[in-house]
Amino acid sequence: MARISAPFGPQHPVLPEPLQLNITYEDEKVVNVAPAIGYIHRGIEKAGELNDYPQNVFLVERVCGICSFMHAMIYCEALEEIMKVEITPRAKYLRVFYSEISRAHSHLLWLGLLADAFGFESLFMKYWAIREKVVDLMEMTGGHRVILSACAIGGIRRDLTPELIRKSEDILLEVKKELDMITPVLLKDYTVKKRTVGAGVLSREQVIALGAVGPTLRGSGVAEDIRMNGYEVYRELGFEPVVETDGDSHSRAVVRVREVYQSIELALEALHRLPEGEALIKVKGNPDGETVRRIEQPRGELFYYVKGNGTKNLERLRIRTPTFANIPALLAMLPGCQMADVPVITLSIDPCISCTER
Amino acid sequence: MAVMLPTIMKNLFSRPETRLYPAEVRELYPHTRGHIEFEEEKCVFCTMCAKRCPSGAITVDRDNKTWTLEPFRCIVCETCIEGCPREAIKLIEQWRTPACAKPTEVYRSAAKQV
Amino acid sequence: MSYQTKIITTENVIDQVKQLFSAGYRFVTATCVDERDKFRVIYSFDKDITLVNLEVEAGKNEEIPSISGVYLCAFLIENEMKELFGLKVTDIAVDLGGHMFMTDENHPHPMAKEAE
Repeated sequence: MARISAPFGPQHPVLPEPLQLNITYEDEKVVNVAPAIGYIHRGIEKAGELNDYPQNVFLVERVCGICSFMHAMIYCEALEEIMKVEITPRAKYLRVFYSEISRAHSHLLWLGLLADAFGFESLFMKYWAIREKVVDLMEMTGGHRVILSACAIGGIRRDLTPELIRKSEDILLEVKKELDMITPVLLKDYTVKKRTVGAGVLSREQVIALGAVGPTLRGSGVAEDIRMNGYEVYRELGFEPVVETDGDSHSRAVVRVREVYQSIELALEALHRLPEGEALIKVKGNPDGETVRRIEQPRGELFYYVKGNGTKNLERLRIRTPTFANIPALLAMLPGCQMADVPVITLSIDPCISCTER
Repeated sequence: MAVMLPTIMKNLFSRPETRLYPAEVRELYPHTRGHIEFEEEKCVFCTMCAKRCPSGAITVDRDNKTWTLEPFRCIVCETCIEGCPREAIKLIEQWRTPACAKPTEVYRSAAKQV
Repeated sequence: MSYQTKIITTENVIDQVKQLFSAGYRFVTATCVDERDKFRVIYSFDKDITLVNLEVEAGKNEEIPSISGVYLCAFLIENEMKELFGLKVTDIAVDLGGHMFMTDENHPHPMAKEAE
């Protein structure tokens, strides 16, 4: 039985971003995996110490293109906690609205990539056609298609007029109707199940010991979602995490499909309950102190540590993104699977390598 | 197979999702972040916009009374528009056209034209 | 965000971490803050959405034992701290030799600050 070593990545049609896994095969079965990251390290934590603290909002948005609004939101929340600023309820509901449509956008993008990973190109194109509607909604309300620049320290810069609120609700209901036609294909089709069921299984104890987060954790039966903490207005909106128990790639896909529906519901509810008032408060002064914040991004738990020392520049900005925590789980899932399962398993943790390497 | 049947029927009998660009151009939404334009008669050279710009796209020279923009560094974040006390910078909805070389736009104040 | 912080020394890092492991805590991350004359390392753990922090202070040349013997997933962040700050972490389970993010031509330990 010969052992061959072949690289998976950094350029591969299935991977959205460059990641290299040096895999050792024994007759098409994976025996050993060695990761190599560092292809797009940009030094964002160091750059965060060189900019002024309001300019950092735009720097931090560009850590990742898909989950960019939530990076800005958690940075603004951390600075508001250090500088003891209380934002208005309208700003909190608007932040939840923007977060939930970002989450729906990210999961729809991933569902398309998953269908592309096993060659189901028509389903990939249908999911991305639905995603176009969500991206158009983001341009209509926030101004840009992907990197919104809508969050600022003190609230939200782009307020919604009543006409925009009505149009947003219509678009969200249209997205839900189109999703109802496509979802049974992913959940019930025979070939989709043959490729994903049983691929990359992790048990409940393994997944906690490996430090996995997000749908990787919830697909193996652990009911943990940082939105249960009730930051912003999630406690008023009433939130329950989505959990599946099988622990394979199919459960992780089902968790994300159910989360898209949940995000659309939460966004519509936030728009219905939007209170009157100002959306942005002026903030003066310099931050002095340290804090830790956590929120739930589409890929998992995001962790920020911010320390200010009384000047315009921050002393330390530490970002721990969810894919950084999911990589050890990926390295534990791969040994023992077939060569053709490697792309599907790698994609099932939703790798966002530009977040990992910042 | 039967699960995909409604989608197949809809795809066969409806128009395509893509549009024939550049023959057909999409209408832009109001307040889309296109690009910024500068009105030199209103500027008092306070340099607020240059201090606040996150990407360093604006340079202001107070002695020569010039205002320089590198348009391909601008990320259209509107921070300069919010900071300007005289509203000398405007947001335009059209996106910039592509270019082969990166230009730099220089504006001089009308008082200095000799 | 409510969280508790406990200050410990470099000798009993591994014992405290083993206690948290047997209580079922999940490892979140480790943060290194350079305070010019010493390093401050904050390890964060989570159980039932409650965060617990352990803070350790180490001099610039002091060695800290690795916790990847208890939590294997910590090897990535310890490699990063060793490479970017120059923190002396010993016995990491998978040691990538200081070349995880940066190549030979780059400036060594870019995030470390000089003492005043």
